[in-house]
Amino acid sequence: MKTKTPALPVVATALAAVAVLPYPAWADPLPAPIEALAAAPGSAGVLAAVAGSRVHLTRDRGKRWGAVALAPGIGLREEPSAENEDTEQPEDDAADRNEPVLVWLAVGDSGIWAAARGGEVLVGGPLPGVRRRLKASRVGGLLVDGDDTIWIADEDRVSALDGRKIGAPEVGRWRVPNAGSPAPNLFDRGVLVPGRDGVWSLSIRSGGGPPMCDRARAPARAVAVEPEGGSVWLAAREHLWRRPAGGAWIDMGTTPPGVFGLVVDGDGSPRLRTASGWLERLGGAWRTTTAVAATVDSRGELWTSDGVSVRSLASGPPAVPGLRSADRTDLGTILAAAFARRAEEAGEPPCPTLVATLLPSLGLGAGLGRGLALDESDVPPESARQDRTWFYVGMQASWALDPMPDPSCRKRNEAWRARERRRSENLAALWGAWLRARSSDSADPGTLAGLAAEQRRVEEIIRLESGVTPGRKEAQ
Amino acid sequence: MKTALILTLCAFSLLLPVAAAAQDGPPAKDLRARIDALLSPAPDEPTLAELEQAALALADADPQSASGWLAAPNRAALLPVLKLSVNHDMGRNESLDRDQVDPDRYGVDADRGLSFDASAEWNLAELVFNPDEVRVYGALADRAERRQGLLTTLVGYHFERRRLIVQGAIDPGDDPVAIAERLLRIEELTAAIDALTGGLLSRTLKRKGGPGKKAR
Repeated sequence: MKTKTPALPVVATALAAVAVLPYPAWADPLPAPIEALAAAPGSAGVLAAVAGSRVHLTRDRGKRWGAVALAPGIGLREEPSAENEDTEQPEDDAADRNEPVLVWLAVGDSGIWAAARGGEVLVGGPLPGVRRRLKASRVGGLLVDGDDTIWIADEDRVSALDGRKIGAPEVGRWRVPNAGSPAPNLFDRGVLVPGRDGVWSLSIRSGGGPPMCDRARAPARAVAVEPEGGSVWLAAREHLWRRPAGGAWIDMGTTPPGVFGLVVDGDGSPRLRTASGWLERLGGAWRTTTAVAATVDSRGELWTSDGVSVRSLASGPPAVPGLRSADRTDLGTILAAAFARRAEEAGEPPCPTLVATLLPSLGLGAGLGRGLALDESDVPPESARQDRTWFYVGMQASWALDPMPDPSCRKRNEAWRARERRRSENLAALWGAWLRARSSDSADPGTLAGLAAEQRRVEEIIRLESGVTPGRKEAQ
Repeated sequence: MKTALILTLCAFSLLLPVAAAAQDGPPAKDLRARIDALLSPAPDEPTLAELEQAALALADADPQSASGWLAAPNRAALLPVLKLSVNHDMGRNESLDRDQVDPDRYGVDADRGLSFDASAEWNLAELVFNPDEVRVYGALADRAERRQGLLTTLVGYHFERRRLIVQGAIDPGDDPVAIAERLLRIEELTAAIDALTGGLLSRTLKRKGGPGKKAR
């Protein structure tokens, strides 16, 4: 259901916003109806909200809000058109034309943001003001990644812009039919984009490959990546799918039709964005929430807005249902054991040391010889003959004075550390997946079997990597 | 293939009591406990550890077989470079001294010698750092990576196969296409596990008279 917003109150609210900046505590209401919320990809305290015609930014978990952009005349909030009144649920890509026009928002760690509605994209931050306006055919989602690259998905393409350079040309463009809202790809610093043919993995450095899922999960409507677990979640064909890192797709049950947004929090709980608002799953059934905007920050914390204020549901670290306090140290135990095991097998490659340069090559030698010396002269005729036998023992020390250090050593070790970091991240993701598989529950026996198998699979991989089985501290 | 489908159906039939129990609506906890039990390998199948061992042996990726590689370069530096040489020297020096008063004088000095030399050389720096260590570390890291990839794949195949078998048992569904797809996937996974383990899964099923043998 759509409600018409009178123009005058919007203007009045915008003026009021200028008067009361900066806004006080996070629980206090922002001065205009909030329509979109975004969290930065790496800095958990950085959030942005679109309220009326303004974009608001906080860097301290909402303690202080500042309005960083005012776009008079453009106004991200517009009256719904007749086309938007149609709330018929879309089915696959054929029904996309009936989707309501949404406000999209994304913010980077530095405060660079991008907001869009329909075919208008505004880019700004970190300083106040709109820095750039772009036209797009029909925006299906936005993302600002950890490198401040702005990813814009519009109808049939995905564009990447360098958010730090005003007016810079695109740094990448890919054709993705029916591109939806992108999600960060934790593994190659690119993005995952749902589309008509599946989920595309795009990266500025490596370009794009074929869709990462088959036609059974296409057209993909919304994709999300768990902040901690790294699992990819997908809404497609009225089903919710989850693919753990390195695993297979698991059917997580059905969804209502018309999903065009998805977030997954640190507990592994999905929320769906539909025409009728944000939905959460309780006991296997989807329930409409009071949230009009939702986002998940890099720590897996879910932030929602009821249109008036911005709230975080978790006050501390992400809570996992059924998580025992001992589990919190479980990951540390696993990582330490895995690291020790790797160091034992193939640790950080060594480099030449000064001691090694100073140490000489030491040689010991011995020899035995026998010889004959003959000295003859014709005037006067005389001859001398001498037999000789000799034996020697010698010692030699030599230094190769090579002041040039091995130039490849540092590079090689950096590569090793990067690989170990990736392995640790992967292990942490597996641990997160294990926690979720363990604590997830379902009334559906098939889903339950899938979860149990997933738990066992992850347990075994963690055990192989570290020798520790999650939930048990002792190394095997 | 027909036999294979029958085999898997037999496996399902062994698990049918669970399916019935699920339909009766037992508490989720009980169901999960049963699923956990079913996920463990059947008595006529090799255990996951056996499969892993077979896969590692086949791929020569067993960590034990490379356990001595790290110490080898430094240990190698304890052994010297030995040189043995035999020298046979021959020398002849002829001279003619000419003088205005005295007659010319011709002389010959000849030397001949045979010697044996032995030397040993230690590069003490290699006790601290041997350039070969870098290659060994690289090889070990590659080996670990390869092993991890192999085992991750194997574990994934194993549990996907178990999951499909259990899911088919507790919730077979009534869509023949879906059932056929599931059975084919199980066969595919069995073949994939066999490929990684040198046929251990099929061999064990055959030897222990698992569902496959019974079906025949």
